[in-house]
Amino acid sequence: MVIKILKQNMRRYCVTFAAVAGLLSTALSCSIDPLEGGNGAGEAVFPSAKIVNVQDDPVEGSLLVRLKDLSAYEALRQKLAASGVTLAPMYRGLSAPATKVGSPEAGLACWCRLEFSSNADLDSLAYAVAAYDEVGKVQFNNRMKVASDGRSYPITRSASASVSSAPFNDPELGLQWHYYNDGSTDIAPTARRGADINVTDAWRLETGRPEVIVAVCDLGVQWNHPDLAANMWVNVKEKNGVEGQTDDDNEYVDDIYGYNFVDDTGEIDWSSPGNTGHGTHVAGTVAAVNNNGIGVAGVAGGDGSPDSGVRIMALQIFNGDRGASVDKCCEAIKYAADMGACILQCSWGNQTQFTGDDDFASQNAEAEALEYFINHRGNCDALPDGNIAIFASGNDAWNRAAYPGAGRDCISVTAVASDGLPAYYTNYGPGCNIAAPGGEYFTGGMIDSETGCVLSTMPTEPIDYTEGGETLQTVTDYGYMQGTSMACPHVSGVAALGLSYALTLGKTFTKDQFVSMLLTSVNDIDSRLFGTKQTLVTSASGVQSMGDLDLTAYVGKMGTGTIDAWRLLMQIEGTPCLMAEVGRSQRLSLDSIFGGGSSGLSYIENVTISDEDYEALGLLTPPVIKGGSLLIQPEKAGAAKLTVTAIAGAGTPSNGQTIGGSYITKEISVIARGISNGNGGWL
Amino acid sequence: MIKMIRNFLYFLAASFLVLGTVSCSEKIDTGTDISGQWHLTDTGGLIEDQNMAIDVYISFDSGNFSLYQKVGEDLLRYWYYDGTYSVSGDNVLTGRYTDGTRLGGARGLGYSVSLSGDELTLTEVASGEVSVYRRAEIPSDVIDNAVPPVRSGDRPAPVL
Repeated sequence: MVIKILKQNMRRYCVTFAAVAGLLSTALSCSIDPLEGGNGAGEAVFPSAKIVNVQDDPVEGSLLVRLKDLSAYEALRQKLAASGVTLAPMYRGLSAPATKVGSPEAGLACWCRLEFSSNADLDSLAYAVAAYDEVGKVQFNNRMKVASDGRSYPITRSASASVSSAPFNDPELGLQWHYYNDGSTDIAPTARRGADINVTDAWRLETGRPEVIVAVCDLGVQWNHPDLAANMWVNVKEKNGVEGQTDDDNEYVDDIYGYNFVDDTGEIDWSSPGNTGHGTHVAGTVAAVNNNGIGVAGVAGGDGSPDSGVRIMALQIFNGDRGASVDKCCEAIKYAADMGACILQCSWGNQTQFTGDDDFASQNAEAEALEYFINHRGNCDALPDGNIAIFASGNDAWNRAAYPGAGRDCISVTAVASDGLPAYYTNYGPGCNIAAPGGEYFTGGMIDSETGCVLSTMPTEPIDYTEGGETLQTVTDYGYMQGTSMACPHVSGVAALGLSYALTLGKTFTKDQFVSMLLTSVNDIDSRLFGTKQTLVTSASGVQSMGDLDLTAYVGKMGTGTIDAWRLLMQIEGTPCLMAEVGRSQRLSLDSIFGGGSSGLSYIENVTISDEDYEALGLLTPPVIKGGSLLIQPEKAGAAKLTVTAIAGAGTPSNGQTIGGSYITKEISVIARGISNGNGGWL
Repeated sequence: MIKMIRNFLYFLAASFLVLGTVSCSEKIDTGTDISGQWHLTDTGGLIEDQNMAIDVYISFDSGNFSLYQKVGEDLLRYWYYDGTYSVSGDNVLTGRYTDGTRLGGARGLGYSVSLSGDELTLTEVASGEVSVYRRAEIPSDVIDNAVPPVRSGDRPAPVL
């Protein structure tokens, strides 16, 4: 009986294998969908549910596969080899057979890359591969998209504006309104004083420390740019090692300033035709060298002394219009984690319409790579339990953030213009966590006004690139750009500044604590979102023209508010108490805890408080969050701690099925006295 | 005759003016002089009993006050506030912060002032809360490192 069953199973296996192999051959040789071929194969053989995404500018001749488990590698390799398909680990040096089950790398080691003829039909092949028992998931190796139009504009006027409180001598700092905005109409007709990241005062406390490494995952960064070179991360073993071989056992050759994952070389390429300088621009915002007497300033670019400034790790995943496939991005993300970066700066995203966080997080390769990065300890002792990934929300004016940034564990950054209002292009809504200056060419009805954009470093030689069939050249040395790509490095820079300050003070935070502080170090934006603003608008038919952008659409959808460096440093220093008055019911503003936009945030209504603390304030009813304030009625003088949870990024948190916000949890101390002032003063 | 009546009326008006001025200035000037620098030492058990991180210095000087407070968890530096004050003839301290907020809470009834040697006791009129201050020079590092409680760019840059 047993033998009979075995024989039946063997026969079924052989038939299945023959069918799958036949389909593979069919898929590899032509563009016919084998499912349509009437070969007897049914849904049970071709489980399409294993295919986690749809084609969107995929790499031809490539598919990504997640093994069912680590032990499945060899069997699958042999089966695919029979059809001429090559199976290889997706991550360098991380093969499934050699990886220990349960190790931090185990999940990543399950991901493999299939390589085959570029003529093969991807859909057909994906279905065929998914049929193998050894395969857990199949993913099209789609390409990511840069969150910027790539256009750069030169500086056309001198920096006459002075930044009175800035301690640096960088001559173009006065044009960087995104650091200090005096509201001058030289910036834009409707520029607003204070629509900046409030960093000039923060620089008096901290300018950045080299232990903090920011991985700029982007186009190539010009590592020898005069205004960047001193702040580049340097892999000393490789720099002092033998050219053409790996000197640090990470299997990457000559990765001195990072790595070029597109061309698989240590030579970062920022200047080949088709490049726009995007990576160099982003890097400059994070950490252009400060106080060096040339060019611009960076948010965490130090004070000009050799041991100051955070370090930029150049991870090239785009080269012109090549690259940024999922596998390259994932490899770069793992490299960032393994080589000590604590902040991942990503001004890109994908176009896949994930329906929710579970849809994203549980299924695809980039989610697993990000999870690895976020839970990996970097080089920064201030953040001992993980790292921070920061993404641009996207430039498609969608009412949701693009993934991967929309994922619950990533920070997604929206863009505001020099008027402090949403830029016309920014994505907004669910998944968006915080806003920052991204610039805008059209603020106040101006046509292509560069001064309202973000000024940063550009490659020192002009680069030819094409746009709409026209050949253009990038500007050199320094230039203006716009986009959530430009907003994102402001948040990365502020986060890097904050971590540097924590190191200076000898403080440590969990990554959740730090993210909570970052997302609540903001100024209110929602109170200004009424009426319209003049900028570029797009009609329903897709025609763009100068017009009135409806601001009400953005209320509650730009994140917690606009990033404020000063507030972050103050939060790192400590948390102020809220002061309540004994004997009356009152609403306490949460601005000092949750930032300037606290009243507009969504909160979990119930507040957590221990019985002991409840008694300490003589509470008769539990404190709750109402209308964005803490409603509390202490009946006796005393002090207590309670925990409040807000939601950053949407009105509701993601339930897994939807795109939602991230939880921000804060422990608050409340002092009840016989008196209290609205401004928090003791007297 | 008319001239005499006019002179008499002028005299009466001038007399009332002088009397009024005298009585007004007496009301302003007769309050306890609390000028100087003070350190909060007792808040009726709030600090001592509950081990709260509270430290407050106040400087009163010619109708202007500066307040330096550190009230919170692990705060590194003091926050500063300033404003104007007066002490009435019946020894009630009232005033406003520069942002318009009244001293002594929303009702703004102020504090009853009692000065004994180097000890200043302020009793909040509405609630009866007692705060005791001792005369003490505000440490220079407190002043030098103090920051405003609001967005720094909105106020003159603190000395850091």
